[in-house]
Amino acid sequence: MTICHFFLQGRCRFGERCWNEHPRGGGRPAPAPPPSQGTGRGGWGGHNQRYTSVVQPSNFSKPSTWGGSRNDGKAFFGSSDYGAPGSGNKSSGFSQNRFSALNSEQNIVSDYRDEEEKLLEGIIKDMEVWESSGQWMFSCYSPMKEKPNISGFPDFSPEELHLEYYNCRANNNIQNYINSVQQLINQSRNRLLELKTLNASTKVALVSELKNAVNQPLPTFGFGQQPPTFGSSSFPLSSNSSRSANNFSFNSNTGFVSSSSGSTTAFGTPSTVPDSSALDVTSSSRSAHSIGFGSQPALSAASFSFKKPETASGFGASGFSGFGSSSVVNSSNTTSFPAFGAVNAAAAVPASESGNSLFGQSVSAFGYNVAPAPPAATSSITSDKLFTPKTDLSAEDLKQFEAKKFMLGKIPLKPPPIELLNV
Amino acid sequence: MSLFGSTSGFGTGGTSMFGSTATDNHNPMKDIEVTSPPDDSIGCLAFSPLTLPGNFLIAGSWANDVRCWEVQDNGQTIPKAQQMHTGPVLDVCWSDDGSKVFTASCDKTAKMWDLNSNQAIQIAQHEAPVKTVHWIKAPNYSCVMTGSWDKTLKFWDTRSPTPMMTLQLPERCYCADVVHPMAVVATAERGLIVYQLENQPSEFRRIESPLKHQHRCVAIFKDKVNKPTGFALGSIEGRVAIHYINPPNPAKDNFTFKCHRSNGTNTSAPQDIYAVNGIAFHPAHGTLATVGSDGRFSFWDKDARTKLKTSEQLDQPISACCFNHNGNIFAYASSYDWSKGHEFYNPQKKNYIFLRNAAEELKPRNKK
Repeated sequence: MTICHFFLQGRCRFGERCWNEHPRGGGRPAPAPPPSQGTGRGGWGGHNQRYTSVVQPSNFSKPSTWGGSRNDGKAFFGSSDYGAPGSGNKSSGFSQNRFSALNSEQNIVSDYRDEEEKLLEGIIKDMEVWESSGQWMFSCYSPMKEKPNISGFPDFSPEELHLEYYNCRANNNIQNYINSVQQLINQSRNRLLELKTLNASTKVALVSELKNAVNQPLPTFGFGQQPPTFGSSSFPLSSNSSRSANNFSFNSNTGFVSSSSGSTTAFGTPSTVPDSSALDVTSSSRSAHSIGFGSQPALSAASFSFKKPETASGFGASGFSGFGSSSVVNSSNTTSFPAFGAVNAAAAVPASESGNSLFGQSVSAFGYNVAPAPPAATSSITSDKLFTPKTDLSAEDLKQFEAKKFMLGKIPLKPPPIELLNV
Repeated sequence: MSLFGSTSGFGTGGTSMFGSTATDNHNPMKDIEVTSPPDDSIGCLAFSPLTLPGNFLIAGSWANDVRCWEVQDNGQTIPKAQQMHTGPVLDVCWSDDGSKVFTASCDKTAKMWDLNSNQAIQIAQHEAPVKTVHWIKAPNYSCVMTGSWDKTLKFWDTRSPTPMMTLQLPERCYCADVVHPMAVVATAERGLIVYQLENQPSEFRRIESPLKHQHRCVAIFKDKVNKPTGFALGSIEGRVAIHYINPPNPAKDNFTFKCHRSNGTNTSAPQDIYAVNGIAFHPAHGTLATVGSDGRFSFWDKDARTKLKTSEQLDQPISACCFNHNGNIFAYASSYDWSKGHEFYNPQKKNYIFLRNAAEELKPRNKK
């Protein structure tokens, strides 16, 4: 019995006919379900009953943000939307729970858990679709409207990559481009797989990430703790929680600059310290910041593949190699979450408390998977240490922090001193 | 009313003659091809405003150039002029009087091109590529708004090298649109901000993104009395969200719809999902057009919530689109948008701009 997540949001179109479970006490803030045909129970008719009733004009009066395009039969927006998460397509739940109206035993606690579960289910579904659809790989992602972006998905537009290619081409440096893109792919791909096959630790991390950054308390769900209220704007939040990959700047000179640190972590949920499991998951993603554009060991240049090879795109020869083959040679790949630069240099740990500060003004350079890791990486910098006292920094480091931008090759590995942070 | 004439006459006219093989799919809709298209991917298109007699089309491309054509009523396109940047051109727009064209480029500058004198001067400077440029004409001021990957939005009086105003964005600017007095900017990490432009530009509201993935394009639409009232936002995930700023019933009025996906049936086969590269609203009818990486364009009626038409598939993605000032002409550019990475980049492949008569196909459906 899957819980109907539309019902939990108060907008299940099938109402009592729905084949997913509608837990009592799950909060029904919204419009009445569409008039059921015949009995008030969960529809004795055949499977088609579920669909025939869909073409009711009243249904369209409450389009949801996610499912609003559910195909109402007619030419409404073409492609069907039955793939909307939770609409019973998972596990062909047609045979399940048409008698949800009879089931009134759900207590509040399990409702909360189910809310999480359905969120996680939604995430899994989305990951599956993302993987199989061939859509743009380097995109941020959020499971639901008010949720923050999930960490681990840096956001890059095609134009940025396109430009980077041209720049590299002008410098005869295409190999660099290829390698860095390959890194990105691996990173995103791994994160996607991680989310698709949610194991316990990922789950915990994810849930805490999502919970902690919620700005609006879920209706009637307290999750046992006060969701932090961050004032009206949700933006500082979402930009915090996924400080992704702005440090992915190809170009050493200009860089996409002053990017926030740490490629993908969600450390920046301002008021909470991430729990340890979240740290585990995301710690490895902190990228190395000292960068050589020089030697690019080990990475295979091939396979910038967005999609599985069987499904060729319509644009000519499918030169894809599956992701499987590019299970790379990323020498940093000790954890399930390949670091963007292999080195857990804790430089510029992004755990910022304040809203939008670009913490540590870090890395204008791009963390390649450079096997010859910078020597200082072995230092015992842990993620706990957020700031370095000024005295601890070498003169060179201090100069770097004080400069407007980091210079390639000289990026400090230690976090910046608190005095230099302008918040 | 410019009679655009039948498309069949020029469908194959402008190009070389060997394009008649059966497998050539570069123009399945048999639309008019613009002569002398740019040599590299076309990133942006803009038609001249109403104030300029005739129709002039501007296109910015990844070959660092901006080209201008005159589009005549019989469909003929005449190349008029060209300007260069030192980096790919990402956005173009016209001033309200039709005398100047503003161009934004990866060389971190924006330029103002005076068409009469054919001179272009730099009017804006950023620290990262400039992704969007728009002309703002308010009763008490006029300026150019530039959005950049350096996470700032700057407003420029074209006579001064320093910006009139700088606003911080939460992330890199990915797309923007301006319809006075409203401006919308969509950034990376699903950022979405609405600005109001009366008196001086200021942030009006930050909006929680209705989409789950990266924002790609945005276009403002107006209500029946010609006031901007909301916007359409497209993402890389084949989805467009229609969002009203102050709707009577947000849950009802705001919605999203899927587009630019393969096999529209709900079979178990996974769909291919393509990015929405551009959205444009018909100036008269209020219906909208979307173009995607799948190489198709579609017309939609957002009030009736129906699809009006989908084109055949071109052999390249459609990277940009726009309507002319009265909505009779729909221009779309067929060129590679990098949606599949560098491996699919073929410098030899020709890029095209097509013009289509849009007067009939975009009429709204009667609401059921």
